[in-house]
Amino acid sequence: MEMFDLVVVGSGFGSLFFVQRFLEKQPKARIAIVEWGRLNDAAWQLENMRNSNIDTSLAHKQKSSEKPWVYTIGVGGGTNCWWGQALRLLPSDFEMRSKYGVLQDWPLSYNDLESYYCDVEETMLIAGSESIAKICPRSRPFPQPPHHMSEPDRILVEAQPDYHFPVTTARASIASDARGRCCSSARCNLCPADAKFTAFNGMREVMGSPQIEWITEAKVTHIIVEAGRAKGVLFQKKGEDLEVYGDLVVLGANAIQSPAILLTSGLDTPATGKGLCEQYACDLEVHLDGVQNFGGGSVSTGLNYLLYDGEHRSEAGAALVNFDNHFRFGLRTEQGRWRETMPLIINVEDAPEDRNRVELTSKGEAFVRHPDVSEYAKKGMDRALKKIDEILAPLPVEEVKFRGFRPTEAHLQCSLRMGKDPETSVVDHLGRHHKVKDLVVVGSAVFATCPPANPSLTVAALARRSADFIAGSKG
Amino acid sequence: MKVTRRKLFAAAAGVGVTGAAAAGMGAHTLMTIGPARSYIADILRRRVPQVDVPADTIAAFAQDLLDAGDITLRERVVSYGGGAAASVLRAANLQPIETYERRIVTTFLINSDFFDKDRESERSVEYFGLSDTVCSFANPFAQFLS
Repeated sequence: MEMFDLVVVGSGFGSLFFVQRFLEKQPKARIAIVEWGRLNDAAWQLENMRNSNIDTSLAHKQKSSEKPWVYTIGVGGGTNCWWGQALRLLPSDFEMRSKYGVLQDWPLSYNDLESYYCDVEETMLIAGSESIAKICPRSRPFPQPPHHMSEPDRILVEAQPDYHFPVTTARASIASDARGRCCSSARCNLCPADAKFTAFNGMREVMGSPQIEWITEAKVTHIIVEAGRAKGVLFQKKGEDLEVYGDLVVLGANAIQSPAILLTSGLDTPATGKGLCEQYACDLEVHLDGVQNFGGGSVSTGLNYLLYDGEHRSEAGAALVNFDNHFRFGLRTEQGRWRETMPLIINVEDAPEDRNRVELTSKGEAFVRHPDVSEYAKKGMDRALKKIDEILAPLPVEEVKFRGFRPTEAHLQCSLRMGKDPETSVVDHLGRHHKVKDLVVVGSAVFATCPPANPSLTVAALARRSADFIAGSKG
Repeated sequence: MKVTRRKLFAAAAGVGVTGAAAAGMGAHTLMTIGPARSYIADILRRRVPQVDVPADTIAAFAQDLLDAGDITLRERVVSYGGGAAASVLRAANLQPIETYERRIVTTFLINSDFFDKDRESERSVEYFGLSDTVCSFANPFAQFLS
């Protein structure tokens, strides 16, 4: 039986950025990555117009009346389907309890994560403007310049320089050896220019490392635990029950499947599976008078933080407004006014609640219960909709149309939260399980709260930080 | 492998109409190019009166949409034509007509030379088809750094 130094479950952002740093510190480490899906490269995905051959709506059970949850099962995980929004969290996101008296503090600070944000931004070739350091302090410049902004963005940057910024994104603003330049085609989950960072175009050294043994089309069912230590995983492949052993197990499935694996393994600590949530979001369309939109260089070109941070967060969730640069609702049809329309997405912070959780069916499959978003999120949305005019004040607005709530942002998180108290959290600041040694959880499942910013960059930074500490001193 | 607008549009249409009225699905078999052409022509005449769109161009555009799997178009055409099937479709919670017609107009215009010409003096328009590479025509207004 071959023993590995590391057994990794899943191969999305969390797993791969953990492995990347682990191999930098331990180049001779032998690593097994056990992935439920198969390798569907960019060519396969474009040819088949989907990211995976596995229908994720069948990968877990839930009531059909409840909101959908979307994720990708396959080599590269969420790096395939994401749209490349690569936002940092704000410093205050990490200290909600201390600062606003609600939710929980993360067991680490923004400063603890800052250099890791820089590292993963370099791997992903993030494009952005240094001006955003006003709200997210930076110690290194962005690897790529910001995309060309749309005209509404330019007006808002000038009017609200502390709140409106060019988008930070893993959609390349300039071509490189590894990637093309974003073509603003608004099909980012199936990027036709290979401009968006994915595992395949941005982590080739990791993906092709001879130190890694890939075990694909293998569904992990249990963590093997002996004497309080994780020893490996059991998995099913082609109808067979198999196992693989290692000195350290890294669980990076996703915020639905990771807790399900812990639950099937009998690792049902009080907080396991509880708190599943994602941003609460809606679409708006703003009709403008005389300002032409859609001139930016990418699918989304601006971020507005006016409604994000502040004392209101003691009662209502933060709101981030994304300025889109594509024809979500089509051009206008009045003569000569084709481009005088602007789609917006409002993303609101949700609060993890115990009632929203991952459980198991009688057959041991993941079952999601999510009766509703929190009142905290609803208040945040109400506030954002009432105050959207404050953001739009510098623009010649004709009309703001509410275009509906969005069913999902594909940002599932918070079901295995990090914290200091084993009664209210599952892992510590490095993702180490509170009760089982040599077991580390990565991915957005470990988020302690659910800020409105897109989670992928933070997932990568957290995973890299975990590996940085753990690779030198086994978990 | 060539990535075509046709394939990409098919995916987009598929996602957009997941919840379309199941009752109307059988009506798709009634679909022919003729009614779709009439429906599209009506939309373009009303929404883009400043250009003359030749009948063969409309036919090509309608066929491209149908080939791309635009189920909403099929439903709209049945609804447009009236009759029992139309009642069923109208009763279902379909995409608002305003939004759908804007999407049709947008798809046609950005896949044509409409924005390349002075529309004060030029009434002809050339439709390029949905089969060109997506990056060529996705957003004709986008400006890039390089």
